[in-house]
Amino acid sequence: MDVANLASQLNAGLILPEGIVIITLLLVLVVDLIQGRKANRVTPYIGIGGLLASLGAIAFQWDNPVSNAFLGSFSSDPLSLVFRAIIVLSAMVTIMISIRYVEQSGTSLGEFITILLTASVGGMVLSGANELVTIFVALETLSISSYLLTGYMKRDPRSNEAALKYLLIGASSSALFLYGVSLLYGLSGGQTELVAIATNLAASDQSLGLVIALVFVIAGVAFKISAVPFHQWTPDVYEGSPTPVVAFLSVGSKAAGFALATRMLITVFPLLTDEWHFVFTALAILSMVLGNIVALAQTSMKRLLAYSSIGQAGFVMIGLIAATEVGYASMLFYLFIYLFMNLGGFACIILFSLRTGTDQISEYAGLYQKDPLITLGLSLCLLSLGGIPPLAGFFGKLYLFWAGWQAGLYTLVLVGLFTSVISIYYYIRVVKMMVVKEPQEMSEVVKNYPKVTWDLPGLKSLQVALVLTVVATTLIGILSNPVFTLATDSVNNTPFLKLDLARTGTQPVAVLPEAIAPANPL
Amino acid sequence: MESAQFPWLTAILLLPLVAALPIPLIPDKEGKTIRWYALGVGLIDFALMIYAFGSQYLLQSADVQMSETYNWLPQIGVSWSLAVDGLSMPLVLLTGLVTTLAMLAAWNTTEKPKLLFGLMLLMYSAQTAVFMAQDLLMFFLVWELELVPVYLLISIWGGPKRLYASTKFILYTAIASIFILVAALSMAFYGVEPGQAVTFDMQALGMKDYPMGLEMLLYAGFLVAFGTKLSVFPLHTWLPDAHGEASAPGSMLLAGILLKMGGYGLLRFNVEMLPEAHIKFAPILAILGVVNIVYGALSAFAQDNLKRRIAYSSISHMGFVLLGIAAYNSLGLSGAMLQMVSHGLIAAALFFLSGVAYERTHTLKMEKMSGLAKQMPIAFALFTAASMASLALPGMSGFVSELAIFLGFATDTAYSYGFRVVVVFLAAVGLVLTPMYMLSMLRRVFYGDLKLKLDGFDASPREIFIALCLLVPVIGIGVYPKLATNLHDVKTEALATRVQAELPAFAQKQQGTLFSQQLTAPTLAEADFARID
Repeated sequence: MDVANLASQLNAGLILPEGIVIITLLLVLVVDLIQGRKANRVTPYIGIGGLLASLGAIAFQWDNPVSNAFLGSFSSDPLSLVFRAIIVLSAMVTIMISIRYVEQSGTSLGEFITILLTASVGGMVLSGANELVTIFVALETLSISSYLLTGYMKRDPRSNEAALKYLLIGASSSALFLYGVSLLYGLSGGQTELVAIATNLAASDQSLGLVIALVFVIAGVAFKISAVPFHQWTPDVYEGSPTPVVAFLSVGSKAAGFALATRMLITVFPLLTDEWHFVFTALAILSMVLGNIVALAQTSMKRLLAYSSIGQAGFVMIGLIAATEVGYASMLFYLFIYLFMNLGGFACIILFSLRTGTDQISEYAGLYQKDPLITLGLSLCLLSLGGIPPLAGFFGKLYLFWAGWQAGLYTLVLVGLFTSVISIYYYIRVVKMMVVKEPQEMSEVVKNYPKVTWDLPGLKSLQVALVLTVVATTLIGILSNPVFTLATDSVNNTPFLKLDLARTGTQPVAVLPEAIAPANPL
Repeated sequence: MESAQFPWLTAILLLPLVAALPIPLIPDKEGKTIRWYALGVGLIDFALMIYAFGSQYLLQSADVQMSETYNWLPQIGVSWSLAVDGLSMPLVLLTGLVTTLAMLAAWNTTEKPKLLFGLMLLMYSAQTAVFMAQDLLMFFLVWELELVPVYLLISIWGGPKRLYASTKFILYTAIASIFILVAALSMAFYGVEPGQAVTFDMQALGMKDYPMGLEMLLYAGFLVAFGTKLSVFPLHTWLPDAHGEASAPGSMLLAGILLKMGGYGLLRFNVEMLPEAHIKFAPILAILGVVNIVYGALSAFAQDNLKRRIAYSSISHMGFVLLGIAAYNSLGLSGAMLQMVSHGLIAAALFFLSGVAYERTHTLKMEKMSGLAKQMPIAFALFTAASMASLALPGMSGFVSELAIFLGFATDTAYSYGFRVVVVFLAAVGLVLTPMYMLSMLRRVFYGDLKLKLDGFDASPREIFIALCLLVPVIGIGVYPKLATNLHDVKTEALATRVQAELPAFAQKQQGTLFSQQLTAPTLAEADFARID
């Protein structure tokens, strides 16, 4: 059997996006090795280019009818394509905003990009993994690269501390997850493929063992999406790690976690749907309440965003628990816009800390006078995270709450609404710091603010990333119709979700013909 | 394109918003260009409104008119849907007038002028959109759109306690607006079978028949949301702070238009869409209205700060709106509508003139001000005129509207005689208190010896112009009320008919309940019908 034949049998073309990223990361390594210091001019753009190509490959696969590859262990259905696109995009923006940051810290840029790309490959494979071993290998690829990234500023003790904390907690959560997975393997009579496990479990009566397996799996997943009470690592790791890494962890890694949760819980545990919905409801409520309330007390911008990202994960879970077509679609939509608003916020924070060397909230006082661009960008991104119209975050939350209310999750939606009011309070506190303070109340660092230039190497790409994310944050909400249609389509065309929707009997919601009737002026 | 087909309302809504976008790019450090730009946009938009309503709006019709519906987010049943009727059209015009004048009032702002005028344009759009939106979720969106501009308007250009006031404002408003969303979702999903369409069209939602329990809950939710905006006791505490601390143009917008959003919401949602629950809640509205009138008037007495006193007078005047809404007849509803328009003009004038005084004296403490009349005779005359309008002097618009509300409520035979007597008596007490605190305010600020060294002279032509633009309509409506009532009368009558249609059925169904003592027998309600005709 020759290679081409084998490849076609395995449907290997479906991992083309991952392949492109792997080739890119090898290329980055080699160029970095050959060119040495000079490579810093090239490697980031190789990385960005590779990720763009990968994004193109993902778009190209959209209409591909055959979604299973590698004998069913990897599936490239529309859902995984959307998640992979989110991860690729977040990796791309992260590279764009990290160039200057990494160079200024004096560490090697090539290695940073390599590890970041490795993490992305892990996340991408995880989004489509359909088999226990693949899932675990992908999960560990993502995790181990993340540990390396958090400790990347090796001269900074805080970064080292963050890496160690992340490693220890992460390793134990991986162990829990692995234990849960091994239980599934045993209970299903030695199956590793998710669908086969579900079939075998349905045939046998293993309720207690299954519940235990479910608990362990949820623990592993909740760690990745940093849901309360599995969130303890988040603030410390976010505070200590290099800021671009935090940006990636809060978006890319979280999206991968949600991909895993969606695929694994829905496919493997249809028997325990009520149970895992119940657990996730508790996690969501705890995350929304604790994340948003503790964020009130934060003085460091990175910690603020850490807690806010915990709260945001709680909002996203509403879509997952709603378990309707609109619910899953709104989850995808929210993750997609969360990508832009969160990374836009991080781009501003990185820029500010590059210019001033701090990320204390109080140091932002009076920034409006000195740097209107950061002020505008950060204000828009934070207000969008708080759900202020007409920014994207408002529409994201509207979709989630709409879906939640329709599915009858009244408590969840009410908690979500009240906590998002709380979140407005702490987001707007930062805006107030920047915009409202008068010239005499300016903080010391803002008083000595350097002249705004974009000449230094790497700042241009940061500027581009900032402007792009902020524009996306502003406009995607108002023009959300095509994006939401895309999300709905991906839910409808994903076999396992279609199966789940058919099983629970939720019908898609049609729209009144009157509601879309053309204008009839008097 | 024929003028009938042109999307006038969308154009009116979007013009200020789109015009606000390029403001950061306009090269202008001093704010000299920006203010002309913003004022020009405001005027053009106001002219657009007048032209569009003048040529397209039919006064004889009680239905929504000039509807424009476009597909927006069909997946969740939201459409871009605008229309006006008698409830919204006068308020849209009021918005155009007051916002444009507020921009003129902010003429000499030197601090962050770009941001100020940008926010004002943004608010211009948001306010008109609130009154025109016909889709409940779109309404919620534009309602929330107001939040951050007002927050910044108070917290940047406000008085010494501006941060406290603005934070209080945003928390109150944001929490209250949760109720709108929850009520909207409940209304839209009620009775929708799986697979059936969900719509947020307000007309369609108003047609639905909700079970009584749900309707009461919905009503209560809307009441909390709009009551907070309208500063109904006990949800009013944000108002004196916000109105007192905001700069004069900010207060003009807050008192002139934002308060009216609450009253409009009550009429549009509570009365029009949930008439059955309205019958049950109306006595409570009447009681709350009286509490507002008396409480606002008494609190106004205790205020030493000029703007806070005016702010409490607003609370008192909003009580009349509630009282008018509580009446089941068209006279009361029409009075409530007129009171909103009239108060929008008067309060804007009062806040503007107190800003004029503040610019000269740099204080709002009335004990520190005195004797301004000699130095600023023109401003004194204008302020006196505005105060007279506020205390409902005959010949001014406030008199007409409050009289209509009194008559409307007093002649409403659906309430028991005793209830009416008590309510009208207490409201009349409030009416007596108003001249007392208004006149004492005038005395303390303008009479006596001059204590302060004034910074500047009498009102400038620009300031006189702004005050006149607000006061001339006040006197015009006072002399010939039909000027304003013409715009909404057909609608309020239709509204009253709709409410009364629920009345007999309700009185029959609910015999022996708590409110049956206040509601007389069905036969009396039939007398109401006769009167309407």
